[in-house]
Amino acid sequence: MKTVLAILLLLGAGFLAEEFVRYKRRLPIGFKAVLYTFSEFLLVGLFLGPSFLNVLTEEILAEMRPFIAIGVGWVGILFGLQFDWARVRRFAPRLYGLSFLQAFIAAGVVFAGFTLVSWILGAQWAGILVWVLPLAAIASITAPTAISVVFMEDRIRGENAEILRFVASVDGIIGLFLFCIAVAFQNPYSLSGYIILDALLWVFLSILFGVLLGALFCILLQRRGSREEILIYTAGILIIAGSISYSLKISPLFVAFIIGIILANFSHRSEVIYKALSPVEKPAFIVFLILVGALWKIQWGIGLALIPLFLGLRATGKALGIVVSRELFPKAERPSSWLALGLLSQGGLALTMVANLTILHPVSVFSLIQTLVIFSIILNEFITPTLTRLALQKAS
Amino acid sequence: MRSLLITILLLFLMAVGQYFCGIVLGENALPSGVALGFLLLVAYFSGHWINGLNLPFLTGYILMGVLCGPYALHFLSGESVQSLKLIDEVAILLIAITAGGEIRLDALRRNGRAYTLLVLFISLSTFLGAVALLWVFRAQVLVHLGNDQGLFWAVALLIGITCVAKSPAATIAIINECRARGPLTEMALNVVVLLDLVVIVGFTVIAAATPLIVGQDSSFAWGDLMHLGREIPGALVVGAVAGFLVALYLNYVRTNLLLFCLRPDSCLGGTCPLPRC
Repeated sequence: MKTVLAILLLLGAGFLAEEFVRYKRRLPIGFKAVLYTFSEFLLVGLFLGPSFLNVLTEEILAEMRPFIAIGVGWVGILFGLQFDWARVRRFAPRLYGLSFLQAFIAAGVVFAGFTLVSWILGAQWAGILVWVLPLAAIASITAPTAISVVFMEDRIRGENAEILRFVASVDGIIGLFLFCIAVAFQNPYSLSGYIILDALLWVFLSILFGVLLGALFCILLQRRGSREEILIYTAGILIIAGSISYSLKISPLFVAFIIGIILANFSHRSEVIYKALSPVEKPAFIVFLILVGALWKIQWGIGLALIPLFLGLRATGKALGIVVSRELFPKAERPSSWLALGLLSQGGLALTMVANLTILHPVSVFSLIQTLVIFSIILNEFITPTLTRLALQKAS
Repeated sequence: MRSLLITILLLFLMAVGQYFCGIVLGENALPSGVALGFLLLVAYFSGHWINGLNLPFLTGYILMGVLCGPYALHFLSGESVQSLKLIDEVAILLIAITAGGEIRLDALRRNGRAYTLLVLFISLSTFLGAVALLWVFRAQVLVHLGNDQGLFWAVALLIGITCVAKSPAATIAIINECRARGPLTEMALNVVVLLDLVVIVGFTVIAAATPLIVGQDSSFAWGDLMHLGREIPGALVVGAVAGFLVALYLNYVRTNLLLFCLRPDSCLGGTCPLPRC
């Protein structure tokens, strides 16, 4: 019954917090600038969690892990739904090249940097792979939300702005694939006895489950139903995807991402999912953020010490990534290297990956990743608007 | 027909999943979350094709639960059923809120005498009828109870009072599925809810008297009755305060009604297991 009360408390907080979010839009720009991506709810969760007030106890959070897996899957489906082929092919291949290459290079720089640090600190190679690879995957992702808010407020238009928005929206794909591989390496179940083959098999199975569940969802959606029926289908598929992933220790985020892609491309009614989910989307996301915050165990010592390294390596990786990948463009059309400044924000997808790691393997090394990523998100909220405006100013 | 085919497809997928769970995880049932997700879909679609046979949706839901449970196809193990108690608790909460939302105090005052007589006669006749039936077959029952007469009467009284219980959930589901309204519907729902109250009190009294009847103890378990005496008034007070606060919110704030899901024409028996908002 305690868990039921906790769920009711969270639902109430989520809906009431949505009112606060609406009120937030009417605040002066100075206040609004620090609250772009709802990170305040992470802090609410942190205070309610075991680290402080312990309203959401460890037992309650343990019982909620399957529900958090479902929330993770929901973010994955929404991300995947963006990539229907008709929309994807409207954009030039070199734009995708720019996005993917800069993300890959950013991940590579963070991976190299933290591998070196871990090796100096005496960590074993297997241990390094377990924690550095997911961190690198998360570092490669840019959050488009903060960028979009700046564009809306300042009414920014132009080619550089569009390139920045596109790269931020799409570079998550590389992060997701790298993350899936990272989670596959952590899987405790051995299928073949060989680590690399096991990881490949788990990646393949993740894709297979996503495709099968996506196909099932398409079959269900063929029946014209009310909004409530769409909610049932979505809830059922998300529960299945989240639970299968949780049981087999694969990434529910990645499986749901594949489901979203299948839906976007093989169902004519994928848009009804948006309409069905829209009334509950914001409160559900707020509840999800509170739970992620509650799961956060701050690593004060080494975590805080590594934050500047993480931020620095990520910024370096993004900058290097843009410098290299802009070579894909003809000289006259090359985007400015300054755009890298606008790619530093992190948000929902990075947080969801952190939640994914924490619920699958609640071990202390992933608390370190939590600390690095969440601090990065919060700090970047302060500087993203300024950097984005500077990037576009310099680029033009 | 389409609903039946989808039901069969989903059951097939559950069977395949169960097989692979056996190989990979070494378990002979699906993980509880996976089973829950499939059950949600299977029950929903089975409700539709069952409805095509002029039976209520609820029959389809129950049928699938029995079929997929630990005593038939074993897609859900006993432990999984226990681990999903959270869903039970949330569902009971929603059903209780919906049932309470249908009860009007003015209707209770207006028809108090009729409800009282109905509840009295239904509970007495059911209770006495069940006990009488057990007494007729006492020889066969005593065999299973070690020929203990005291135990027989305790069991008979408990079964008798349990038989009085009706299901508010099933009643609400059928009422909503048929979109029934009117004095008969109102009476049926009110009587069902009041009968539950009779069962709670009656069961507690009989359970408290059981040690005395069986002969294990010479005293009545007054503690159980006192516990009940705290629980029911306590629940009334907490429920009234919470309901009053919700009413204030609905009257003055009037946003995010989805949070409360209070519309009486809920689609429990029709298209959705959640009350419509």
